Amino acid sequence: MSRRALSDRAFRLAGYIALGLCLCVLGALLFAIAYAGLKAVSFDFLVMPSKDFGAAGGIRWQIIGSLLMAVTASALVLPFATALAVYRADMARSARVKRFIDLSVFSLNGIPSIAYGLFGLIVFVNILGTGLSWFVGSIILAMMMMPTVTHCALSAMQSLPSGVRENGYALGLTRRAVITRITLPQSLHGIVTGLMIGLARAIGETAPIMFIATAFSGVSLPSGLQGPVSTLPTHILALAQQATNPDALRNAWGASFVLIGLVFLFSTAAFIARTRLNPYSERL
Amino acid sequence: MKPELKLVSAQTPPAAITVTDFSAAYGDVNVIKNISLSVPEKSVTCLLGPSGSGKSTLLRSLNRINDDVAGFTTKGDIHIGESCVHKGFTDVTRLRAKAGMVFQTPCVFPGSIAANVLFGLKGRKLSKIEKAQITEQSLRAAALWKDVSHRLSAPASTLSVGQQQRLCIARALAVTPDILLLDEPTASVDPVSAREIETLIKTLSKDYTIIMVTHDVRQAGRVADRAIFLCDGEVIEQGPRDHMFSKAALPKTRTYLLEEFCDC
Repeated sequence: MSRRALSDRAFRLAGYIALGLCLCVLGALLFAIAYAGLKAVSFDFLVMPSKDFGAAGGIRWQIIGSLLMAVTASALVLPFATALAVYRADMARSARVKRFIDLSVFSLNGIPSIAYGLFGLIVFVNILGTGLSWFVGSIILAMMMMPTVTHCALSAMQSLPSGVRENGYALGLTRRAVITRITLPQSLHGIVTGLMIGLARAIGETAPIMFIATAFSGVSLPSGLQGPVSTLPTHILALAQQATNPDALRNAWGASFVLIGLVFLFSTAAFIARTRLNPYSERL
Repeated sequence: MKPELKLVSAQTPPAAITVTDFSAAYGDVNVIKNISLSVPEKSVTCLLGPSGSGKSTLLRSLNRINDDVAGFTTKGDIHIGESCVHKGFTDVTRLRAKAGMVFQTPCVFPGSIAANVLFGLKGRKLSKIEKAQITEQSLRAAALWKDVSHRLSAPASTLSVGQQQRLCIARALAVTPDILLLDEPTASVDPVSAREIETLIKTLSKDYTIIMVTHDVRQAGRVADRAIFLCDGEVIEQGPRDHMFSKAALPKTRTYLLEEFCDC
């Protein structure tokens, strides 16, 4: 066998091993959660409120609380992240400004989630005196989602065919028209993908919202912007701390299964958006 | 003196574009060096020259499409009709609508053929009938109507590359420019489509002032009414096609037109 064929085969084998390891980790995780979680999941589990500190009843308010915070965070982050990506892609002329934006976005992405939580506690709860507020939690989640959404939107905007904007300008379109009629519609897939990936991450976060936006039990829907909600991650955390109680542990697995399902749903939506909404996708 | 003036005016149509002492640079690199030229209206003027001679930069300066390029600076005047490109057109979008541009690689927008034609008109209040009329007129002018009249709502991306380039010309015509700036419009199409586009350019020159950048000397010989030979950012020679291709004054021009080679 020639040296080239041997190295081809070695690279292919390395690729298969890496793929296999990835699939094993994902498969083991999904299997464990599905195996233990499905025992707890039923229609009642999904629609009933929790009782007995979560050891009995369902997870209705936790699902609603998680979705409420995640959707609000998405609504908050969307205009800011899109505007930042548009500015970076279509408006910023100075290389220094562009580098600064890139560095900021990457740095924000690397900040540990607990740091976001502490920031929210100090700024909103201690300094601004908001008290426990699900809306403040959404703001913090939006801050966490910002780099992901910005990065995905920016990547889509930068990957537009090179002459597409120039063709718009050559037709006499203003910068605003080029942004609204060319850049934004043609990079919608990146914006939506970023939003879905950000949502998938935000809905599973515990640390950033633990101190400022959630209660472990005994809450339902908030009446306004103030007041805490209960979310799936904090509910799982609370139940996991009652590890000696088999009912609590079973419900923790059930809640984990539902949480993974929601994350999977958003990830799938991101995957579909990436191809379906891309006007230059091979599919078209 | 008056009869002489009349004679000159009869031979050379009035200038649609006048470039006076114009220089352009990308940062410290001067790509156009103090050139002056004029382009007669309703004719095809070809900008010829080797790579890096400043042809495309000159073309892109005419509608200020390079304005957003970092480090791009210009000196001197370009006049379109009576208006100075840099001082007269405070609204650069108006200038670009007046001087439509078609690029080397056809770039159709996602959407239908009809939507592509009307792309530059979005935002204008037009009735359905007006839109249909503009679409048909523009496609007819770009010699594409026969090919696409039965499938105007089909995606523009389904057209061949040559048809896409003609669609780009139709899109530029839809905004009713006076001038068409063509940057190597046949560079990325097959020879048959290239000939079709050449014929189209000749036809359009009856109504539009056309300036075309080309590397293809033979194509310039077929299409141009007037040719301008640029080299290293300077105008080496300019004149009517017959003069340039049969009795160019300078050896450098003759060498380039015969051998497509330049040592400047």
